[in-house]
Amino acid sequence: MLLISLSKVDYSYQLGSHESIKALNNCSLSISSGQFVAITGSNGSGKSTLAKHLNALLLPDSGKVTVDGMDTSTEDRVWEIRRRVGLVFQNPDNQLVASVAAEDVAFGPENLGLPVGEIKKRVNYYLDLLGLSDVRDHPPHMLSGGQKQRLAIAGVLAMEPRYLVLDEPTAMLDPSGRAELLNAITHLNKQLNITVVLITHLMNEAVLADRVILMGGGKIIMDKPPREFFAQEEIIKQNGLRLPEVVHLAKKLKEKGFELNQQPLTIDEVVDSLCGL
Amino acid sequence: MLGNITLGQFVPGDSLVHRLSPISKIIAMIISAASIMMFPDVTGLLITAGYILLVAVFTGRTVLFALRGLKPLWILLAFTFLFQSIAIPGETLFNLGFFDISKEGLQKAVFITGKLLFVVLLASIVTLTTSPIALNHGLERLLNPFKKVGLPVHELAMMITIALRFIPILITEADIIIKAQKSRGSDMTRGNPVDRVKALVPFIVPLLVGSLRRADELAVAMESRCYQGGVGRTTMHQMNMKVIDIAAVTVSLFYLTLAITLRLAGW
Amino acid sequence: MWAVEVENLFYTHAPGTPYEHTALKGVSLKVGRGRIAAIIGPTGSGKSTLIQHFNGLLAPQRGSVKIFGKSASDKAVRKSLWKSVGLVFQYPEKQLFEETVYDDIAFGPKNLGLNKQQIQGRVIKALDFTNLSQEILTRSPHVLSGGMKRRTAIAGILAMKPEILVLDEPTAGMDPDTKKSFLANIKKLQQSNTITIIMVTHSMEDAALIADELLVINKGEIILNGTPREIFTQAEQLTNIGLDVPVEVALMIKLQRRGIPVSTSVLGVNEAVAEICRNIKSRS
Repeated sequence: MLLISLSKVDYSYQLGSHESIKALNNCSLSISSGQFVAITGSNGSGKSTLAKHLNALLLPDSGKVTVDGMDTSTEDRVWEIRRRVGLVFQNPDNQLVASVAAEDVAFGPENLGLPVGEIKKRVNYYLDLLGLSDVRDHPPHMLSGGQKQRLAIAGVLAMEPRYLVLDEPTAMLDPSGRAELLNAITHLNKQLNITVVLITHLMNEAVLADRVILMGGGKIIMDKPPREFFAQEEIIKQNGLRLPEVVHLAKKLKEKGFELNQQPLTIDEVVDSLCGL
Repeated sequence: MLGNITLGQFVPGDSLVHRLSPISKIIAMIISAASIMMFPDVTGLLITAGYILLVAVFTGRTVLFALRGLKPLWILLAFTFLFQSIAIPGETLFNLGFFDISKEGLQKAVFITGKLLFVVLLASIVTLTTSPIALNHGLERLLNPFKKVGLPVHELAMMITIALRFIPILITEADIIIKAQKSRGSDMTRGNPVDRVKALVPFIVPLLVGSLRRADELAVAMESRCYQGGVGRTTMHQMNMKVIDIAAVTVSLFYLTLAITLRLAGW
Repeated sequence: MWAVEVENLFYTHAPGTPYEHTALKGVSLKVGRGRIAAIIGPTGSGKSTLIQHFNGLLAPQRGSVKIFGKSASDKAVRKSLWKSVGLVFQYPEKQLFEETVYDDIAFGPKNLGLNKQQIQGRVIKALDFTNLSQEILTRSPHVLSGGMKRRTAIAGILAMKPEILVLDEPTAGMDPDTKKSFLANIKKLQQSNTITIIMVTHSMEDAALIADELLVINKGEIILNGTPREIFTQAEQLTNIGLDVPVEVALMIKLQRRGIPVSTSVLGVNEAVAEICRNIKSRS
């Protein structure tokens, strides 16, 4: 059974002794192997809390999370779950451990107790896969933001997980770093068939996924393929988000009587439609 | 800013010395440093110069280039030289203001300064050719026997790794916070000592809060990457001795023997 | 008189060391009083080095920086520039340090030597302006949400009533709604005061939304300047140096490549749609 499944998950953060905030409210969801899922929502919608449930960093107050059939609450399965579900965080500086790029990639495999030869093989392979071979001996603080985040991904992939979960990985990057990272993620999913869960509030990133999930107030509000998802402008707006600019533009064009073939998601699709007129 | 501190910085490369196991490098360095200290006279310096030249041949040009950058060292050496030449009384060679420079003093100065220079050069060759992490793993391995007496060897090594990683980040962050608070009119250079200490609060608190947040996020990231302490962990760095390692340590032992012989002969 | 006037400014970090890096190579620019100027450039273009000259954190090495006509090469002028030029660093929430929100916002005004009453007035006004409620004044800034921390930090600069406000990537990491209302507030600030605003950003879209003029900087040199509309006629050059252009401009570039004679100088989706109607309808 190769999938991550959440069933009726509740989770609250404790604020002091009496107060608490309900971050997840009856969330049910399953993510199968090979998918590219975007989980969106405004700040405080519960999307990051959900991400931390996927690899047992947080455990549900009630309900159940399983990874390939293993319950995250089973203590002796925790490390296998974490190996299978790799997590990449927002701030690249706070997740790289070693002061040399190659050695950071080695960190995970070293923790798994792999033999030296295997570690070296993986380090070389994943550095190359993420286009970092040229900077393998550089200290992270000499790398660009985009390179640092790709290094973080290489470090996680070196444990050969089935699922790659990225929690707002582009939030601290500039436009070129962002483009660079999104290309890498799409490539990993499409070419290497790695399951990707991308947590983001940027709708331009969500359009890249095969499936978009909207969260609000700890609940799953909507779960649809992108073209259908972005047809629901009202629901998206009610939850503090907005349409991707391209979709918004396409909508305005339609209002002016342009017939666009489908719900376009990229600029190229809009251009194709317009030029096919 | 970090300026020109090349001391202790790693220069990647593929020379013979680069490829030695960090353990043998540390051992050879300790043996060699001990030998340098043991040589009784200037003859020893000449032998050492030859020895270091030999090491340098196997180190590659990048490192030789980097060695030139050891600027902070020259000040220390100059001081040592001056101090030694003044401190030893004897046959006066010439007079420098209040101080007499003696022949013995000058000899001693050359000798001590030379020794110091060579020890620092050797130590630099080790740090320049070994990545900090590898060096750290080597130390961890060498200190392993002390685990039995309760020394948290792995934890210490991991702390050093993380410190090496975060020092540059924290320096940058400190720079920004200082500038941000200056922009709000904070001034550490005015007032009495109490005021000045108080004026540090706007810098120290954010730096501390920031470091704690980083530490927290790093801990979560490390856990996510299956870090569970030293148990069951392997390392990418080849720690077992290869032929070149044995050769390197043998050469340093030979050099030590030379030092002991000379020392005993010159007693 | 110009609020900011920079002439042929050069700056090299860590000169004479292996880390030597020339960040500014002859930058010249002028910002008029009461205007909103956006400085746009990719990472490492020299933006941060440039703005640190505006409030005296860095001294010009070559060339000149004048703030309201006074030269920042003069040390005495530089030392007092913080009083008239407020600089909001990127991720300003990092600089919060006081025990309460009130004290943190009051830190700058206190350093200006204002009395208690004046300080209180400033704090309340700045708080209002950043849409924060007075309830949080007694709370520790460290327990606030990320967005509220950011606004508290910005309030701390606004409370100093700067004549020039410089913001370095103020919208980094904000979600779309928060960003929109933040930018609207900045525009409002300009309209209600005689303040000059300089905003550093990667985002052409943010800049186009509020700025009167754009200065595009790359590799230590100003390569373009003008109104957003003028700048967007050079849209391709912007994408070449790694900047994001608004989606409607990107669409126009691609339509041009297909041989459709649209202009890339469009501001906002509505203009873009009108431009497309004009060109494509007439073609078919």
